[in-house]
Amino acid sequence: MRQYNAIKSKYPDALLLFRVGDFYETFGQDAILTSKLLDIVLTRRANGAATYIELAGFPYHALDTYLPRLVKAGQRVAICDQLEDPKLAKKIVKRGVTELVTPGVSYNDKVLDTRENNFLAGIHLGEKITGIAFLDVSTGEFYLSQGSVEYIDKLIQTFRPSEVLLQKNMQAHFRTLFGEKFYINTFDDWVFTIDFTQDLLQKHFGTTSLKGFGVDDLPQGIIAAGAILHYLAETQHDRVQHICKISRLEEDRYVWLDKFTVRNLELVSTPNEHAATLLQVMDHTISPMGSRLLKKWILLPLKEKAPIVERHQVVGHLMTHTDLADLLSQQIRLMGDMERLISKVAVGRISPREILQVKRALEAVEPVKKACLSSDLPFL
Amino acid sequence: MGEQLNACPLITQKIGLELNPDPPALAAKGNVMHDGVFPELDELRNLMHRGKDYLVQIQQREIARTGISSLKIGYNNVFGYYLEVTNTHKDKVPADWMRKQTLVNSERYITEELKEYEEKILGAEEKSLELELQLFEALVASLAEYIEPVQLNAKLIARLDCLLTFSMIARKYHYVMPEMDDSYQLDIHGGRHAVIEHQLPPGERYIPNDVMLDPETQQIIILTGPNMSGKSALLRQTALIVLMAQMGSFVPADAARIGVVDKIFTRVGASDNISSGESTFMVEMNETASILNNVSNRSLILLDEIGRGTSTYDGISIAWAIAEFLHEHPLFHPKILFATHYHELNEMATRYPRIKNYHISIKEINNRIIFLRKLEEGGSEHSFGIHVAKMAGMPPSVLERAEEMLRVLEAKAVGGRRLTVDEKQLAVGSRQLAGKEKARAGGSLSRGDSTKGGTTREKQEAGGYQLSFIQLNDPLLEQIRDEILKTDINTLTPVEALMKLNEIKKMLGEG
Repeated sequence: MRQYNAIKSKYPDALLLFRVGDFYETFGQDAILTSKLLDIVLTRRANGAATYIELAGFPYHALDTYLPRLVKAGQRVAICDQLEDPKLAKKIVKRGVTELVTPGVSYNDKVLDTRENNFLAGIHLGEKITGIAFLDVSTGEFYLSQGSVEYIDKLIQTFRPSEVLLQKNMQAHFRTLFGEKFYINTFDDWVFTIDFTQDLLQKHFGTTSLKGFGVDDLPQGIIAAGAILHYLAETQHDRVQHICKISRLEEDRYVWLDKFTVRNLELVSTPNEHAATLLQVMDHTISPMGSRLLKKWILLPLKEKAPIVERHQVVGHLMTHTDLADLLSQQIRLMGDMERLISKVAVGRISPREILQVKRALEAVEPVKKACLSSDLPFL
Repeated sequence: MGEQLNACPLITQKIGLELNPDPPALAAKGNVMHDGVFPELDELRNLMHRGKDYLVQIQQREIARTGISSLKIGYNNVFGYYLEVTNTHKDKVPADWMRKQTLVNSERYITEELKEYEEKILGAEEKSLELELQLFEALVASLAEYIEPVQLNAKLIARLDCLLTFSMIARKYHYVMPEMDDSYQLDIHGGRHAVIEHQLPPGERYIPNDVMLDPETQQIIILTGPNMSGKSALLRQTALIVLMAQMGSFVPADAARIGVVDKIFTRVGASDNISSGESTFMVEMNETASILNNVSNRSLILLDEIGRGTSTYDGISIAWAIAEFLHEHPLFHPKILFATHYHELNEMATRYPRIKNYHISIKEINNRIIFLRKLEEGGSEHSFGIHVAKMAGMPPSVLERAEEMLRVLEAKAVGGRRLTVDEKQLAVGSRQLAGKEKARAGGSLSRGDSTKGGTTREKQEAGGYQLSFIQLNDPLLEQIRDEILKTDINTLTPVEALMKLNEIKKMLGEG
């Protein structure tokens, strides 16, 4: 119990799942909460002389079923495992937190919706200009930008982060600006400094400057992005080599759709139960990657003629060349969620079956490549 | 796109060679790697199989030796491999067997030999699992070198998938390729609403409409028409067509020419957003203010019954002022569709050259209306709100009374020409405002503040008219008003409040 308290004190705001033999147990307030959220039995156990402590737990192999439910309920969950073989340990088994699962950082298929990105946002509220960065750790997509509060609000509406990182003293300010319904985590001010964050980003990407990504002139955005990396390290996510680049979200490349418009036009969500959204009508994509991209395209339409016309030409070409379209859709059907699988490779959480799926997906790429190369349309 | 795709043949070959073609879901279960690739693993596996074969041999031999025909070899986690003898044969058990467990109808024994082999088998199994895990991790590590090309593949495939989807829905739902240009115009022929056309009951066809907006000649369309006639749908379909075109899709129309749009604003007069807790009218005004500060020449603005969250005269005044502001904007001429059921706004078309009136046609037969949903030039006279109420099944007595009231109010407005006078005053007022606006914009001051100031002033002005509307020169009513005004609600108990109400009621009764 002393060991439990020591670990719990390091993660006071997380729900601690404490591995005891074949079970994950929760104690005290955590147990009361867990039993309510998971609908499992709450018991008590003796804790020293004449006191009791609440206890609730489930077998370790049920983690995959219960963990997503805790995370979806908006809990940060720290998983504390036994770090040595109990057979070899002399007294108490050494334990430590091996993973901190939060709504914004998750690889678990059951937490994630395959047709949607799961973004973690870092926000650095500045005097005039606010920096923002988004990371989907399950796909490796990493974006940053900066701008006025209005622009940031719009980006938040577009990306709908499931978790937001902020400066500690800005929490109230943030809520008045952007609303209440965010899952927020905070850091001290020292994290939100340009020196610390730039260093962190450069170390991560193995570069000496951020010029190569075209983001070096966005200091506020860099701070926000650095805060995200810091958070990953804090939550024991150190194998993140699949995040191999960061790109800039350019305000002037996309049509300005503010949140009222997105809501009024019912592009991706609707308050009415029976109404359909534009996304629902248009989304006949085959792969999860396509589905996630389509949502982005709907919320970020282009405003330059050339790339729009380019897309129209490809669409027209595919309409008239049905054999090409059929071949492409057949091959894409074989690919599965290539993007999320390869991220699992990076973090070392891929199963043998999933590796086989990566192989199948890559094999399906070859015919697509050939078909594109032999097409007379230059964009393909 | 083809050049950038990379099938990474080296790694797929490696996976094909090393990985068991039917692997388990978890690496820790074993049997992950292919036979015949790693000699060391093969050896361990052989040992395991041989050991198990040997167990069978032991079983056969012991059956022959003891004559226990039902002798079985089993395994459990507690004491490993054991020999199981049913109670019928219990007396034949040889002396060198050690009894470990007694069950209801059998007993379990172990022998020295059995334990020896158990160790070998389990040892080999453990080692092979460990080795397999190592080999698997090595394979994962070599796959990790391909993260970047695979991510690029995924990106390109996602693009292809989306474009493929666009071509599929274009064929299925009869969309056309929009013509994009750098003009400021928007010209849609036979446009439809991408979502609503799918939700119509079978057999019913969505009525397509033409919409043309041009900052030079037809910058603002004031769209009137009865409730339920499809004003909102027309507004939204226009925005959706532009959006779909600019995301690269074809569009639900017969033909469309679109000058690239850079901002789309839609504002809907709030009415049913009570749950969020904010004053709906305040929200509506906030939202609208942000448009007025952000317009450009390429903007498309859709205003749907802006101003309906307040009293009629307030609403008309605000709607009028907004339309005027956007028409008279010194720098930009954004394209605007303005749906309203204040037909008073139709008067604007006669005063401003680039404002045009349109309405959605209906047919009135025997006091009933049929929605034709066709956009036509010119304004409309009535809202037909009462007709809609009738269709919704309101009691006839309520409907009759409503029609009566409508006649009275209309007669008043026309008879006194009061409304028009008000409007003229109002128009002058807001033009002054627009003038100020220009001056401030020229001086590059923060325009956000000035516009907000503008709308509140507008409200105050309009508020005066609203008051005059309910000013009834009845001494009794004045008396009641005074009574209410002098009541201090903060010190009133519920009982006192009820008594007050009773008092007021009495005053009315006496009168």
